[in-house]
Amino acid sequence: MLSYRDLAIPSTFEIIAAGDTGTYMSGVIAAIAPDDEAFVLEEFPNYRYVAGEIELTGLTVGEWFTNFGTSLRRYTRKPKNHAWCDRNTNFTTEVKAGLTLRRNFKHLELRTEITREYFQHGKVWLAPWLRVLPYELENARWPEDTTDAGRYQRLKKKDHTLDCLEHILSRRPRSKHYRGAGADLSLKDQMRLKLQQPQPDRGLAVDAHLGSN
Amino acid sequence: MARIAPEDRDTLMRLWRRQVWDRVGFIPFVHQAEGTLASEGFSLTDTEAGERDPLPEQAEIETVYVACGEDDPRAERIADQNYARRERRIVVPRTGGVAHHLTDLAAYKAGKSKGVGMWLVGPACIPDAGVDLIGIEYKTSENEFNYLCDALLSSAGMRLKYRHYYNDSRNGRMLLELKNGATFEVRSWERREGLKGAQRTAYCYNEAYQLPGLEAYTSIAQNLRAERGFALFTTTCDRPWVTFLHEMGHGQDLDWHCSCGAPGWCNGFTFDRKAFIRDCPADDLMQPYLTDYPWLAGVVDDIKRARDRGVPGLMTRERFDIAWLGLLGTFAGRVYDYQRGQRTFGPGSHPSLWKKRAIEAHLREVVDALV
Repeated sequence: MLSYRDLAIPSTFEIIAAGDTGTYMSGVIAAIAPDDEAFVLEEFPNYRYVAGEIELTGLTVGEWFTNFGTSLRRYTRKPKNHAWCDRNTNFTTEVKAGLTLRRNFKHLELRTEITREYFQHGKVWLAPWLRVLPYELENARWPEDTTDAGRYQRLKKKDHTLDCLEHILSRRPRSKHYRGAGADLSLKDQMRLKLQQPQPDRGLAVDAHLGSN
Repeated sequence: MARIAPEDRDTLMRLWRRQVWDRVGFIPFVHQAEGTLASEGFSLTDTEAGERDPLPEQAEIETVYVACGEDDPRAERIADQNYARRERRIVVPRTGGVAHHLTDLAAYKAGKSKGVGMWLVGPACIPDAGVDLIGIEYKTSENEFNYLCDALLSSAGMRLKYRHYYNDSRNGRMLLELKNGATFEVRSWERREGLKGAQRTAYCYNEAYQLPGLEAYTSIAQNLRAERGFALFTTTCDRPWVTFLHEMGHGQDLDWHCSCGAPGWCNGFTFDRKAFIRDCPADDLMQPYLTDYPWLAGVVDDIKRARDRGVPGLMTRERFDIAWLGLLGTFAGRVYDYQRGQRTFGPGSHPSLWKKRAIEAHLREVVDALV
């Protein structure tokens, strides 16, 4: 049976992670390919679904952070990593296993729309051993009506792992390969290099209704 | 509290049920027969018994009604323009024996209530049997209770004597207690606290989709343990959670059985051809059924003509799947166009993401499958 031990993620892929904290915690690690496809590699829920009902597995917060952080280290090969999470998380400093949670301020509606975009274009792939995320994806529902504030957000129910995937995709992540030539340079040097190159003549799009310049 | 051993009880119920069916002239549809036979330790095959062919060992015969066209040589007129033929199907012992959890997922008006009512006549022969019919409200189980009472009490039925008989859905009193102590009571899920602590022969969940989920069963399943009782779930597929019943019924646990996909036209007594044509959004939805039901070609032509005239179907594809075809829909309101099992990457689809050993194992599987 396939497992994460059988994976061989190329170095050109970018590893991105996200977590969701609270009573029900979860984490997702994904690899972003050069063509922007997202491959969800692992999930780290502290719960499971039994006949549609959610049940905690008994994992402590410390154990969860250790599992998640250690696995993320394995993929990134860096001692310190960060994972995106909801803006109202209580964990704002490095917790364990070099893992820091960074707040993602994109709100739910936007996260959901971006994730739907990825699915509509077939840009998301799931590892065959995932159990919780596929269930939550399948069961994500729209509400009957908008909220009192006029927002139309998907129902926040049985979605902790799904939230993590939405956090990842809402960042519109790019792979390392996207940075092109000079990928080893700092961002400042890359921009300088780019500006020194002759710029292509994009040509201004002329709107015939505006008349000639 | 019934005191007969479960195996003997099941045999008695089977014999008694058939006697009642003969008396009232009930011939089941295929989906009704499948569920009942599974609860008796049998499986309905697709094979018709020849008049003179010997039956396989341990096989029996069950007569079922199958919808057909007017031009079928064995067609019997059921109602209006609806016809059905009787088929004597071979029935064989079921792998796994008796199924104690039965699910019937069917279209609207496909005969679920009648099927349940005719199943429920079985426990009537068991002294002190206790059966609860559970719905979200009392009225939900009204049809099933009426079918049961007609079969057992009416002059066209078995004319059984009873101790108590109340049939008032408005005031929540629907109870039949026979002279032998067998009791059938309609219960409302809104008053579920009263369900606990009892010992029961069977629970029957009517329009199960209206219930909150499988907790309606798991919270009181212990009451069935002492008698190895039955749990019946009959419902249309209006809510996603009923998918679980479908998965269990077709899964590895042979104590669960699922009859699903019974379309509306299988019940000739209620099938309304005009309503069907009015609701169908597109004729291509009927193409998969034309092999088994060639007489539907006329209906498909009528649908095409209506759509060509610009008369739109009243239902969405998904709603039509649920309402008329008895299928588990994809459920409108889903945020992501995704079903479990889709979008999975593996050594076959993305070899560059896997180690050599995983790719080799995958190739070996492919070769083994070909060989």
